[in-house]
Amino acid sequence: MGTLDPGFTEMLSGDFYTRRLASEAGESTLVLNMGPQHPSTHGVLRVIIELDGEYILRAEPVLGYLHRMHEKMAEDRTYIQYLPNMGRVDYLHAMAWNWAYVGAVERLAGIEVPERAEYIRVIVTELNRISSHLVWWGAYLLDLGAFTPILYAFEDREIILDLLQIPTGSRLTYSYFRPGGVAYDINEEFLAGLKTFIPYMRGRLPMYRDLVTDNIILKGRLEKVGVIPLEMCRRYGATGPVVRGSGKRYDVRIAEPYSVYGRFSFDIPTHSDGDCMGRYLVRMAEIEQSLAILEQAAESIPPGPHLVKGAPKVRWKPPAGEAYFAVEGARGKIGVHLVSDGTNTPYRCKLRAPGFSNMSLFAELSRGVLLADAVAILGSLDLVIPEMDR
Amino acid sequence: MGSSVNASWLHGLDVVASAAMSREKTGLVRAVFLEPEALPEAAARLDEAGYFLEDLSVVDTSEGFLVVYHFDHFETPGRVALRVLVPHERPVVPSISGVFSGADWHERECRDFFGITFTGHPNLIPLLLPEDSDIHPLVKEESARKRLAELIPPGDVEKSSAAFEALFAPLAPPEAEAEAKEGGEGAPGSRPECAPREAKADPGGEKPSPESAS
Repeated sequence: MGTLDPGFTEMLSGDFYTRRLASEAGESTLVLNMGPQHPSTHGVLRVIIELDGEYILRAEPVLGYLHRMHEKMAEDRTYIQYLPNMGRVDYLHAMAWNWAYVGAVERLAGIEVPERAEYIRVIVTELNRISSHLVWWGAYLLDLGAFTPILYAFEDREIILDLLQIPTGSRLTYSYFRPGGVAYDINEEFLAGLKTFIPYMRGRLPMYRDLVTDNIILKGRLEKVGVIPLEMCRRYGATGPVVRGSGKRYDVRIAEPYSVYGRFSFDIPTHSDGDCMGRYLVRMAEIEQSLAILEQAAESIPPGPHLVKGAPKVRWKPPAGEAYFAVEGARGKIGVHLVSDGTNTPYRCKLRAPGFSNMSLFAELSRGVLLADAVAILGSLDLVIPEMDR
Repeated sequence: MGSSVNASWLHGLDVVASAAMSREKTGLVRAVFLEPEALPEAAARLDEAGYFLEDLSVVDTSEGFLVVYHFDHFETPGRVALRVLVPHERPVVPSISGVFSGADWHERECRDFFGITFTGHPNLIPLLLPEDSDIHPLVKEESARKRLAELIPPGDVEKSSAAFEALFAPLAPPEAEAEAKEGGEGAPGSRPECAPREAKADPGGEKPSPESAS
């Protein structure tokens, strides 16, 4: 038994972030790294936790494991070449990111979008929103110890992926929007598939409710857990189902109207409790509302071009200036701030990721909760790590 | 123009310039230029008025780093931008994380990407870049920087100052003429191509004299 190598003891004390947190930790507490590889962090999120028994005293998220510097990439390619990046920021709701970026470019250059293209955008974005919520639902219940729901969720999501594959050619990282419209028109096969999907999905929701939502164990795990006061949402800039789960009827589709959303009648589901159950119920209700939008859009979609004449090509230059465009993504408010110097490359492209702001309240929220509840809270925030890290 | 949006939080605030913006064209309803020292006060007022912080963006221009704070409101939507220009040599901005808790991460991100120091930040350590990283990837080379006036439209300026006039002088002749009586000191200095930088350094630092134009 020789003495330990000093390098080895240093390694045991953890990395920069662990040591930093541990230096302020109490004597009888445990500093625990949850992640970056942990089943409930869905990707590579890391949270350093100081535990007293099973209770969390402090938690510090460590980000950046999926950081790809999308904002720098924007300055390195033309406006059109940057489009595929948008499908890779948030792989679950890629359409909304497509829209936020393309919307900023259109606002910057004053590009008109044909009516049919607006309808197509609404349809694919809402379909994608449902598929995103389905993945969240299945994965969240997996976190909570229920294995079966994800099998149902993925069965239904598969139909959406098949549908979206028809106009886009891809199943996950869509790069479908173009400044001035969308890349390809939707066809009869897609519309027919959509029209059978809407009643099918409606029929599945009661089964979801019976199987999971009314389940007594689920209620025990989620009710009164992770209560986020509305004021906390505001201080952190939390949006989407998080702020709606805390009782505020705030949705970018209504608050900052864009496209043709004003023509459809749909509700903005809210819940006043602000707990994990509130956020859960808001997302489940949003699936129904997206179906309502899809139904109206599929019935009233007008004929016409899917892309404006003279739409920007690869070396296109917008005028100098700045534009901010926001859309409602599955996780909240997605914003793109573009600054142009009149060349064919963005001078600056800032991406506002809703998950970033939603996650930033976790450190405060998790103080004093059980470790098992922290898993329920993380899942209820619907985190997509590549979107937070960008 | 979105100028009808209630801006009572602005009253009596020490600003370099304030402008109503076209929501259709820029996505903003108001843009307010501030001296860095005035930022915490402005943030506190927005907090009191019920705004939330959307994001924090920085634009690297030849005059310095333009730090842009975007705010929005849950009940009365309308994006407000607070803008602060700091020199490249001394990029220091007071932190607003004490007012808006969400600013904590946004400021850490800006430190990573641009090397900006936020004074009073409780935990200004790397967020997205590795902890031993010593590069600031979004800082531009001097030759790639553009003048602020070439990038950011000043909007419908309601309140202005000499420092602001100097920044935008060559691009906005109608406003420059209108304010020529008050901004007499700043206008001649802004003639040559490189002057605005010096002009910024002196009236910007010493006399943030906001003069009402409307």
